[in-house]
Amino acid sequence: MTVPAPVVTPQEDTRQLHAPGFLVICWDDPVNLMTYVTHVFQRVFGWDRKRAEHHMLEVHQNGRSVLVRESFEEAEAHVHQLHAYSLQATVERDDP
Amino acid sequence: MKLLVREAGRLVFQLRARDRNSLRALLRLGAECQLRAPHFTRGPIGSVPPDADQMLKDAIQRHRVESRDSVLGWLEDPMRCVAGRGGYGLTLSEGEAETLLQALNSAKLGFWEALGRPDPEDPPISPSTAHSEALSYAADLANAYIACLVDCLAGGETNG
Repeated sequence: MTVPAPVVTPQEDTRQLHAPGFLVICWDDPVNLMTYVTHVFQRVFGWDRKRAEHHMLEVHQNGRSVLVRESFEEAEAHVHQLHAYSLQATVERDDP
Repeated sequence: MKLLVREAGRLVFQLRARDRNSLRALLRLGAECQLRAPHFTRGPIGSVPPDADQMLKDAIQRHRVESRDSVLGWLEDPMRCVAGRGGYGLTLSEGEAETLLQALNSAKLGFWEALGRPDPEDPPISPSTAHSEALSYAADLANAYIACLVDCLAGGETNG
């Protein structure tokens, strides 16, 4: 499914929504297995095990990991996929 | 539960009768546990329409129900879950195996939420009841199947 994209303000340009200015963040939880989280990252992002484990450990140790930086539409799709696996993931704007 | 065959995107799992019964019971029990819908964002990302977050929550809730119903249907389908010596052979595509994984994990999280979202590292706060012990057992059993399935999908073979 697709949700409406953020409404742009006069200061914004619609091109910003298509620019890679949105972060997909995965947050720690005490219940999902580490091997499960690694598997999900591999499946959703097509990463190899080493990269997926790196982000899984970052979530586990730091409480969160920035997984990718991409356009709003791409970030929305990835968060939806992560939610389907019941991971706590959000889209955040990458403010400089 | 054991992965017997993996070829051309097709997986065949061997299920003992008690595996099939356990999976059905876990998914049905999971349906009785309300799982909180996830948030789309934790910070301002622009003027997102107020119903956007709710639309995503509704979509994920529908996805959970559809995944669970699909898996229950596969387990009941004699053409897909074929009875044989010592149990059943369950044939799934790789995508369907991912759906099974998602459905089991949703059930497990539902048990966890019904238990009050305890940190597994902490000792239980409230006295246990027959109901909470049943939920804890169900969560542990779901965890065992999830670990087994992740191992199978990673290319290994395991018994669960």
